Parts: sequence; structure tokens; C-alpha cells
Amino acid sequence: MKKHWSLLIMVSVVFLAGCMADKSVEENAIVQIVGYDVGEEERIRGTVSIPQYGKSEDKQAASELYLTVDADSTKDVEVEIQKQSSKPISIGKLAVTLYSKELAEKGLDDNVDVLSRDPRLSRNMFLGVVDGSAKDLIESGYTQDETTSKHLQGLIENNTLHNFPSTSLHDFLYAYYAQGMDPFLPLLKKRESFVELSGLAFFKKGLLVAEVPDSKIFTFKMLKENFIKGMQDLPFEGGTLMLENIGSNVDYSLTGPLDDPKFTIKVKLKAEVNEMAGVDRKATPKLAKEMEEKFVEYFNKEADELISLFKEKKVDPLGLGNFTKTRKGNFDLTQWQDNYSELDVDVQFDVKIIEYGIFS
Amino acid sequence: MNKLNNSQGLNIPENYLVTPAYVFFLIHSMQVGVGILGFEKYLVEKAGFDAWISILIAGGILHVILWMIYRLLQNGGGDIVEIHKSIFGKYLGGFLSLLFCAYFTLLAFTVLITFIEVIKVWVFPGMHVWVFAFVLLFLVYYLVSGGFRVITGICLISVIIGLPILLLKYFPVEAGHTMNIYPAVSHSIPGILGATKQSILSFLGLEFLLIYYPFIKNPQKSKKWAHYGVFYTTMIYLISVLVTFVYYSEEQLKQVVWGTISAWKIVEFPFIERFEFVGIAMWLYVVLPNICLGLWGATRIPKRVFNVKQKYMVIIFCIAIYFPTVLIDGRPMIDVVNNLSGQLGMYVLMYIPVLLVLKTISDKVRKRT
Amino acid sequence: MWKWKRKEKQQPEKQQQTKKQNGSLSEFIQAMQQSEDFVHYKLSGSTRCTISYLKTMSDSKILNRSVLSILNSESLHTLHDMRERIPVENIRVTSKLELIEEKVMFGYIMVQIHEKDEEVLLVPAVSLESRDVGIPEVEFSVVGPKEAFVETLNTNINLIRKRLPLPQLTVKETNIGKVTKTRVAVVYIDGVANKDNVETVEQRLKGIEIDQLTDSSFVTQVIADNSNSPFPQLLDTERPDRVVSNLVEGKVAILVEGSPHALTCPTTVVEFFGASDDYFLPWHLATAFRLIRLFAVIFSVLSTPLYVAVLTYHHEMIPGALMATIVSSRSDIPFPPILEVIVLELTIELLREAGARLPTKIGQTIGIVGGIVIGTAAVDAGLTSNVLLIIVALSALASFTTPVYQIGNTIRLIRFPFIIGAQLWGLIGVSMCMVFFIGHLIKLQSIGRPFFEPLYPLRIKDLKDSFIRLPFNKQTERPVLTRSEDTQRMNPSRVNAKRDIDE
Repeated sequence: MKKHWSLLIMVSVVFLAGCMADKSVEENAIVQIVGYDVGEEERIRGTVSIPQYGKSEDKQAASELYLTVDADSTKDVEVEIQKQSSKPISIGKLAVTLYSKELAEKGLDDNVDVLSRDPRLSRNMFLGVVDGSAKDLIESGYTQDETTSKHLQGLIENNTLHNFPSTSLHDFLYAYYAQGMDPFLPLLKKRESFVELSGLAFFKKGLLVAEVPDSKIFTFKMLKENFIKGMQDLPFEGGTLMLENIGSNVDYSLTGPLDDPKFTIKVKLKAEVNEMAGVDRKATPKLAKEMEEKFVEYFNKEADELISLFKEKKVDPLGLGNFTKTRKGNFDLTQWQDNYSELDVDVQFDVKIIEYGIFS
Repeated sequence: MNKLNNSQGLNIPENYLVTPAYVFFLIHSMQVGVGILGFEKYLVEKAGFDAWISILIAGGILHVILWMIYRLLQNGGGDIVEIHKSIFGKYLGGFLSLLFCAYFTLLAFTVLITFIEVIKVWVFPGMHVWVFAFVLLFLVYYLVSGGFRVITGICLISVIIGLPILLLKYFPVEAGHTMNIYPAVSHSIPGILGATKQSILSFLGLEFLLIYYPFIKNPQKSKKWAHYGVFYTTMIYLISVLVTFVYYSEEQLKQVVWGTISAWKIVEFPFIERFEFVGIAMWLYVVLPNICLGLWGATRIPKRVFNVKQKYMVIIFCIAIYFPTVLIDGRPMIDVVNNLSGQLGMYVLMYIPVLLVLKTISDKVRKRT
Repeated sequence: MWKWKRKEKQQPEKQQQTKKQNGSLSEFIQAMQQSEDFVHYKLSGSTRCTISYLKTMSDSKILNRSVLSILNSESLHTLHDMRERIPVENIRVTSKLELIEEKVMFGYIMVQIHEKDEEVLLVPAVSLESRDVGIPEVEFSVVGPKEAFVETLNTNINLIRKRLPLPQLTVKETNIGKVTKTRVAVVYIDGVANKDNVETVEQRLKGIEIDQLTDSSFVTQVIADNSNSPFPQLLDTERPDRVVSNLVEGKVAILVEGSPHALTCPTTVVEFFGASDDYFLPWHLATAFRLIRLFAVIFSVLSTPLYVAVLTYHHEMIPGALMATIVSSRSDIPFPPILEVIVLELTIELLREAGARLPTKIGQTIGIVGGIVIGTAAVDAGLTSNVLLIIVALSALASFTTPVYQIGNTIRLIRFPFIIGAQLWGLIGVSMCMVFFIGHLIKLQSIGRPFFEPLYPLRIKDLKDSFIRLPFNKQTERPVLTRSEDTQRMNPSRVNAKRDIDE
């Protein structure tokens, strides 16, 4: 009998002491998007949007609460926002983090440290650079039935399936910490009533150093990774061709010694032409051949431009240094960086047009 | 001959024995613990992306040590206590056995506090350790009091539950950079050997064979299963390390404390995101056999040396572990304990060849007289 | 009064002595005469004798047609003559008081030449009221045999024997229960069932100390290896075909007089999730249904604890698309998830309990009223979220998919520790509860055989008929669990003989 009593006491102690004071989902302010701008007096201005879910009849209407604070550091933004919120702030579901271009040009190193340190953050989060003010971008609701964060998340995610290369937090951190590799982020721009991805921003460590407009991104993505969807247009004989990628494959190879490496990047592209506006010829193998040559010429030019831009800005988003490091034993980072601008990179394109749509 | 020795040394009734194949699970589940969640960092610090070689070397060394342990036990009649007694006599031998007891306890303790730290960092920063440790140790007591067969069962379950977690490695590989895997050796031999030492530390656990050997039915037949066990562990570690090499860049990996848990973060299903919570919860199944077998081994030694009831020893050891678990807090102290148990483990592994030599000599001397 | 009888049974050498001490036949008759239904009178026809019987227990047809007609028409002077003449089988002449008492209590007719005689004639004229063999109601199956056990032991053994016409089918009987003296039969196939298993069962039955044994579930609880466990350690079934297939596998069955359920052992936890339907369907379908059932059980136990764990501690795990649904359904609920879950789970248990206690037709009404009215009203009133209502209803439904009723109860109840674990430490608490139950299952034994088999000890051969069911030609051996003395079910070479195309 005594044993039973002591067991009872133990169990009740466990229950009373074990329960942690934690709030259930709906009692948290779940931050899903945060934007950072340069604030006054060297401070950071953080803007968050907190979706307000209600048990209203029309669940469609997504209402959001926007909070903006000035803080000393990234983590301090959370502290400051907490002061304005009736519910505890939860950043576990953060899906999009935006930086204004102004802030990125000053460097994002402090912020990257927080992003890689906090266990609650998702690695599939998207980062982006805003051409303009991140606050304005967050605070102008775009659609009726979606929250801003969901809209922006969808925007970036959808585009990474097409012309844009993949840019999640993990990809950013991978490149950020790697030797001989530099990160890049999508560039967002707010137009009158909508927001669009306007290009890519290239970083040297945490510092924004170069930008590329969206017209060149197809070429960049081909150089960077294998992909199967995407479109690129090209003027051809007074008309326009629209090329749809149905499978591109990139292969790097490295020859020569470490102090004088020679890179060959081979890109094989299988494509379909689905617009031939203004081209007044029948689709024949001969025409295909001509188009292929034209595309190769175009891509070569674009790729050379990109690589010379990278060399000039001393950024390496393609990870050529990282590639060298895995292939050659005694890789020296400083030597590599010194030689980077004179690096010999040869890009070879092989375009095969295999379909012309269902109408000839 | 060996069987005869067994039954002379320790009379264990047949229904408490386990069949040889379970040695595979016993060895494997004891070798895989909390270490595998974050061992990559230490390896990469020493040998960079060449650390996979170190794992293979470490696996090879462990096969040799396993062979030695079997040699020792086959000639030695029973367990480590019996061997110590026959070589060093009753008092010195007993003392050495008690050192093993301390080592086993430390191993169980290390696993416990490291797992609690993982929970505190990743899931519940504000958790009351004293309640959690109490309940966990109560659970351990419940399992250990079921005897060796129950612990073997838990080992088996832990291996079975570990298998689906292994499949999740697909996600980081898909998101990673496979070109990182390239067999170009860039690190010096000392670096690779240093990483080998590190990987041996995460491979610790097969020395428990020294104490549960008498519980194996037909111990000779278990030899091949034990080697399979070590081989499987080596492969699991190799796969884990290769996956993290694909997923992280080298410099990044040096700063990631728990490589495997961080890699779970990207696992997403339509009904569940952020798999690390599930992963850590499932890891309890992997951690428990470690603690249970550790405590069982530790409490069996006093039973064999002093002939005290193991039942009471388990309670005493649980209480003895409980208080330091509650008191220890924070990464620095846990690192100290981890290093200590690693060092001790290293010495134990180095002690085994010495013991084998001594045993052979003493056998020869005895034969002559 | 009853106590000495037990002792006497255990120590037959002292029988003579005790008998003298404890009264005679006339005392027994005197004691019986206090009951109104005891008939005791002298017959003064051609044969002079004394007849006594319990009129509520004896068949008056036998008495009138076979006994009285002979006794009145012929002049018989010894009990042995009577035994020869009376056309009823199995008549005995005995002077053992104990036997006489027992038989008379069961409805035998006692005939004495003189009232003071110690030696009597016992004519079996037992009239037993029993139900007809009906269709199985607890373990109903759409295809397959539709016979279920009834409350009479003889009928039940008949149902088994007619399916197993084997001389090796052995039935051993004992009486258990100080007061009730219930007949308990141990049934097994000699040469197939393991001797140790049979012995263990017999020993355990012999060791039972209980005053009343009104159902087989008493036996389950008393002879279980761990009586504190929520898991039943003997499989109970009302289907004779299931018992027969278990006997053929080498298991031992226990039948109890007055209970329409047979017990079979040794059993495993996996067996509780197999239905007899599984053997009537093609093996792939049966496998699929078994897996569905297994999933249902896991879902039933874990769904509400996971709800509590995720909503209270790990809301990062909820995918973005689900987030809006869950949060808006919970936004006006005044209670934390744990309270919400416990209240709703208890409501479901209430409904089930009320439905089970009431007659079928009212039970249905209660189910509809409870399920629909309370459910929708609670959601409308903002007391529970509709997401949880779906989860709780589904998990209750899933818990009823288990073919054996006993384990269904277990599953519904072990959910509560999981919920508490989830509230304490989220997923880790759920995990800890799970380890506890797995450890418990590993520790459990069914008459000395591992209960968690074939998972632990891992027996690949027995896995062929556990979570999956392979075709019959793959199952040429009896389960390792039963340690059968004859491991071969059939000749595997003939079963699996390969034939070429067009042969």
C-alpha cells in the first residue's frame, strides 16, 4: 500500500512539474515573412507580417498584421516586435526573408550568422533582395486570397522551377561558407500593382557586388545546374524564336595544373521551338540547323559576358573554386582568388532542337 | 571445450540466452548512438572531405579488435571478470573489472546527457531536466529489470526503426552537390589518422561483448554476426558521412554541430514538414539500447565480483547517474564528459590487445606447471 | 463446508477417513430435502425402492419412459439387475458419496433399494437448457463458416470434433471453482501440440484458486503470465473454425462450460489483428487488409497524441497549406489541445459504453444522437475544433477494425498514456510511451512463450503469417512459436512441384 502511495506522488509530481508552459498554435503570432531595411542612425528596420486567421465565414480573405520596428541587430528585431505583439512571436514557420538592396550592399554577414544558428528556422526558407524598400513590398497586399508570404514564396518557388536557379536558405549558406564559391539571391522589384523577379544579385561573402537582369538568367541557370523547364527568346531573321528547354545538362571538367587551370563547361541542351513569329519559313531540318547555330552563338556570347562579369567582380557563383578544391589535392584559396580574374574558362554549347510544336 | 568453460564459469539458464544472430543487433545498436548525429564535424576538422578514408580504416581496426575480443573470450571462459580473475587474481582482477564497470556507466551517462542536450537545443530550450531524466531513467530501469533478453529486444527494435530513418538520406542527397564526392586525397596521413581516432570514438560499444558473451547461445557461431554488425555500422557511418559531404560544403560542415539533424530539416512531406522533430523523437529508440545495455553491463560486473543482487545495483546506478545528469548543463561541461569517455574508450580498446597477450602468456605458464 | 472437498480431491488417499468424519448419504438427502425441487419418495410397485432426484435438473421423459416403466413392470431386487434392465446408457452403481452428490446435483436419478443403503444406482437423466448453435456475432465474417460456440461444453467440443476427425484430438477435463465446480476442457492434438505447452496449461489450470468460474475470460485473467498487463495473453474466439486451425498449428485450446468463447494459447500480439476472413480471401487481398488493419491500429493509438504534440509544441511541423485550416478551426476554442482531446475521447468512450449497455435498437439511436448531435453542437458552440472531431471519430472507427474484441478495448485505453506523454514532452513523450509499451510487450509471455513474436524473437518463418499472409503453399511448416512436435504441415516438395508450360 505504501508503494502505491509513493508511486501516486511521483506521478503527480511528474505531471505538475513536467508540463511546460507553451502556447498552442493559434495563440502564437506566426511570422511568415520578414523584411530588413536600413533604418535611421545605422539601425536596422525590420518589417514582419503576421497572418490573422479567424473563424470567419469567408476564410478566403486573408488579413494580415504588419509591424515595423527599428532595432540594433537582427535578433533585436524579434525583441522589438515582441513589444508590439499581444501573442508570443514564433519564427519557426518563417518562409521568406527579404533584404533591401541598400542593406545588402552594406553586407549581410550579421544576418547570415543568425540564420545559420537558430534551430527553429527552416532550411527551405527563401531569401531575396528587394530593389527598393522591403517594407513597402511586404505591406502592399497583392492578392485577395493569399497572404503576402504565401504569394512571395509561391513566386520564388514557381520561378525556380523555370528560369531561376534554386535559391533556398540552404543553398545560400552552402555557397556562403564554401571556399571558392559565392552565393546569389533573386532580385525582387515592386511594380505598381504587382511584384516581379527582376534578376539575380551576386554576393561576395555577405556583400552584394553584382546584378544580372532576368534576360540573362536562362544562360546562367544552364551553366549552374541541370534543368528541364525554362524559356528563352531570340530574334531571328526579323522574327522571334521562343525556345523551350526540355532538358539541359551541364558538365564541368578541369585540365591543367593548379596554378594554371583550364575549365571546360559543356552544356547540352535539348529544346523545342514553340514560337516562330515573323519567321516566314517552313520548319525543316535545315532551318533547325540554322536555328541551333544561332542559339549556340547567342548562348556563347551571353555566357562569355557573364563569366567576364564574374571575373571583373571577383565573384564565383558557379563554384569553380569549390570544384577545383574537390578535384585537386592542395588547393590554396588565396592563390586561387589572385588568379581568378585570369582564369581560362571555355564554355561549349550544344543545342539540339527536336520539336517544333504540333503545327508546321 | 569452450562450452564447458562457459558452463563452469557462469551458469546461465538456457531460456535467458539469445541466439547468435542477435549479436549483430547488440553490436550495431550499441555502436550507433547520439554520436552519429554530429560526428561529421569532428572528422572534417581533421581530415576534410577525405574523412571517408578514416571511417574505412577505423572499421578495419575495429574488425581486428573484435577478432581479439573473440580470441580472448573463447580461451578465457566466460566474461571479462573471469578473465581478469584468472590473470590478475581475485583482488587486482576485481579492481580492474570495477574499472570496466565505471567505464560502462560513464558511457551510458554520456549518451544520456548528450541526448538531453540535443533535446534542449533543438526542441525544448526550457525543459525541466530533472523531471525528464527521472522519467527516462525510470524507463531504463523498467527495461533493464527485464533482463538481457529484453535489452536485446530493444536493440532489435532500434535497428528496425532506424532503417526508415536511413531512407530519409535521399532528401539531402537530392538537394546536394554530388560533385563533392571525388576520390582525390588532399590531406596528410596524420590528419587522416586523427580523423580515424575520432571515428573510432563514435564506433565505441563493441567492448560490451566482453560482458554479455556468456549470454550467447553457441558463441562461436556469433562471430560472423558480430563482424557483420561492425561492418554494417561502418557502412552506416560511411553513408552518413558521404551524405553530409554531398549536402554541406566543407567549410560549412566544420561549423555545423549536428550535421545529421540539420540535414533532416529539409525533409518535407505533404502532411509534415521539419522532420528534425520526428527524427529526434525517433532517436530515443536508438539512444535507449545504449543506456540500457550500458547500465546492464555496468551493474552486472558488481554482481559477478561481489555477488550482490543486480536488481538493487540497477536502482543504485540509476540514482547515481540521475544527480549528475540534472547538475550538468551546457555544452562545455558535456564536451568535457564526452572527451573523457572517448579517452577512456580509447584506453579500453588499447587494453584489449594487452590483455590478449597477458592471457596467452598466463595460459602457457599454467600449461607448463 | 466446501473447503474439505477440494482437499479431498487433492489427497485421494485420505478419502476414506474424511468420508467417515463428514456425514453419510442420509445426511446428504436430509440437506437436499430443504430444497423444494428435490423429490424423494419410495416406489411401491413391482420393485420396491427409493427414488430421489432434482426435478428441475432431471429430464422427466427419461424418468417416466425408461426408469419408472421398467421398475413398475418388472420385479428387480438388486441394483445390478436394474442396471441391466433400464434402457439408459452409462448407468452406474456406486457407493462413493462424493460422486453421488456431484451426479445428483447435475440431474442424475438416484435409486436405492433401502433408504439407508450406502450403495445407489445413478441413472443419467440430465436435462440441460441450451441455446442453438448460432452465427458468430463478435467475430462475424462475410464468407466462411457461420457457426459459433454456445454455452454448452459438449456442443462446443462437438463443433470442434466434427471438423477434426482425428483419434489424436485429445480432450482433458477438470473441474475448477470451489463453488461452481465448472467443467473446463483442455483440447489439443497429441503429437502436434508441444508437450510442455500442454503441461503448462494443465498445471496453471490446476493451480487456479477461485470460487466461481462463470466465463472463459476468468481463466484468461487468472492464468495469464502477467495479470497486470492490459494486453490479453490468451486469444479468445467464438469461432470453431479458428480454434481448429489453431489446434492444427499445434496450439492448445481451453473450453469452459457455460462460456461461448474458446481460449487458445500460446498466442502473439500479432495474432490478435488477424481475422479468420484473412484465410478465406486470396493471399494478396488478405495481406492488404491485414496491413490496413495494422495501420488502423497505429493510427488509432497515435493520431490524437500526435495532434496534441504537434499543436502544443511543434507547430513548425504543420505544412503551410494545412496551417490556415488548423489554426482557423482552433482559433475560437477556449481550451488547450490536451483538454479538448481528452474531453472528446471521453465522449466517444461514453457513447460506446452507453451503446454497448443498451439493447441494439436503442443503442443505434444513441450512436446517432451522440455522434451527430453532440459532435456538430460542440463544433458550433466552439468547444472543439472540427479537425479534431474528424481525427477522434476516425481513430475510434479504426479501433473497431480489430477482429478480436479484447484487444480493441486495450487499444482504446492505451491511447490515454500516449496523450499524457504528448502533453508532457511532445513527440518525445509519445516516443517514450511507445518504448514503454514495446518493452512491456517484449517482456510479456503467453504460457511461457514470447508474446511479441515474430518480431522479437525475430522469426522470419513466422512472419509469413503475421503482418502479411503468404499463400498456403509457402506455409508448409507450423509456426516456430508453438514448438510443435511435428513441424511439417504438408509435403513441401509435392506442394511446390514445378510444372513446365503445357504440362
